[in-house]
Amino acid sequence: MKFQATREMVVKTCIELADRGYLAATGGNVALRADERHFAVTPSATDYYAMSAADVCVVRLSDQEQVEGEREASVEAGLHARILSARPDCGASIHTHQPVASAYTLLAKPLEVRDSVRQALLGHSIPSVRYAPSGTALLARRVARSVRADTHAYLMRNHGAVCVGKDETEAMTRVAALESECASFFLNRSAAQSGTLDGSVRALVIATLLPMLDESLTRFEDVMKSESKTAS
Amino acid sequence: MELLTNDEARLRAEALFGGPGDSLSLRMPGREEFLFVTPERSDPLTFRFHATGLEAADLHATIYRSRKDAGGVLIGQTPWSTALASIGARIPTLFDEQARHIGSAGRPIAVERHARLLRALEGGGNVAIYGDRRICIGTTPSRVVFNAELFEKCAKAFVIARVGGDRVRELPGWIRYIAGARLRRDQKRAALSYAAGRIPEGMDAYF
Repeated sequence: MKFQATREMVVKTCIELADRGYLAATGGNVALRADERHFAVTPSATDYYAMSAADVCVVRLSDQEQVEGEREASVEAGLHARILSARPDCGASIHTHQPVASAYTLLAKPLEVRDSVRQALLGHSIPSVRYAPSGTALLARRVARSVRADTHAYLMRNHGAVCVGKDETEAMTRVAALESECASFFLNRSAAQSGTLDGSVRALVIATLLPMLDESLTRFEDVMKSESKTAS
Repeated sequence: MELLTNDEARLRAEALFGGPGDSLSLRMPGREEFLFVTPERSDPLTFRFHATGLEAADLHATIYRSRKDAGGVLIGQTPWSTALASIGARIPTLFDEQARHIGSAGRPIAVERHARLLRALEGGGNVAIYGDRRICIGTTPSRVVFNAELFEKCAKAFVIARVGGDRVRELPGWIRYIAGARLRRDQKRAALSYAAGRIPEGMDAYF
């Protein structure tokens, strides 16, 4: 099997994302650069807990031709191909249906990142990409037009998010940071709206969002530890 | 039996099954029967569509009678279904895969409005909020789990977005129309497949 280690890493990353609630049903997908010309990507409409490395597809960056994998590549393979082509510094492109960032996409506006640590991870402003149906070339083009060297997350309206990184660890850190920043936004908004909300609904939202604030810091520390180990 | 056990384990792991009053069932293809399980009872029971003799299973039986495409039914409560019931508003169709696999969920329905619930489900939607419980239907054993996971995401996203007080954008009407047509096509295929005694295949298309 070609690119076995990369394909196994796709499986591992998907399971971690699913365990953390960042994928919903079969929604969301992961692309990891396999070499200069190929990337490994999750297959279409597959249960991530039942997926094996052999199911993971290998796709050519230049024409999105599938060259390996027992199943059909994710409908978002074209989206990942455009992102990885536009960002040669990135080895990972992760598309999530993470719930809080997905909630934010419903507001159809860019996210201004307030927290300085998360700003360093994500960029200052996360664009809100205009709606296009899942898996279409139109969506891939719209996301590609938003890609910037200093912005590492992108929100797709009524859909979800894409986060990039030099590898899956960095991209995952950014997924968590994006969720935290969106959680912070909604916590501030709910405080401002406190008089108009049902108390039990507000309490549920606060109890859900508050623990997310620290999550990106924990993951950031993990990355720093792993980098210092590599350096030594 | 194994399919039911797998579904139950996965739903429990994701906290989508396991509370008091929760129940899960799977249609037995080619028979007017379904397997039924509750969190308190590990051995599944088999019921006929027309006579269950158990109140908790009656709604499942009613759904299988009226929805020939239903391969699995999950009834239960999550914090987000309770929040939707508290809000009381129509749940908009927000995401592609929601339109494609769940369809319109409509407004939460009060428990005493049983006839209205049946009309809503006969309309082809795969989720309804009934009292503070969510009823989730899937064409296959895996689809009922996926739909439950998907609806949990939709409910959570909707409640959180609404709490912010900003306008929440619904999916464009033309997408809802196309996705709805594909959902109905799948439901027709599933009904034919069950009538022929088989679990339908190919129900996991993303869009």
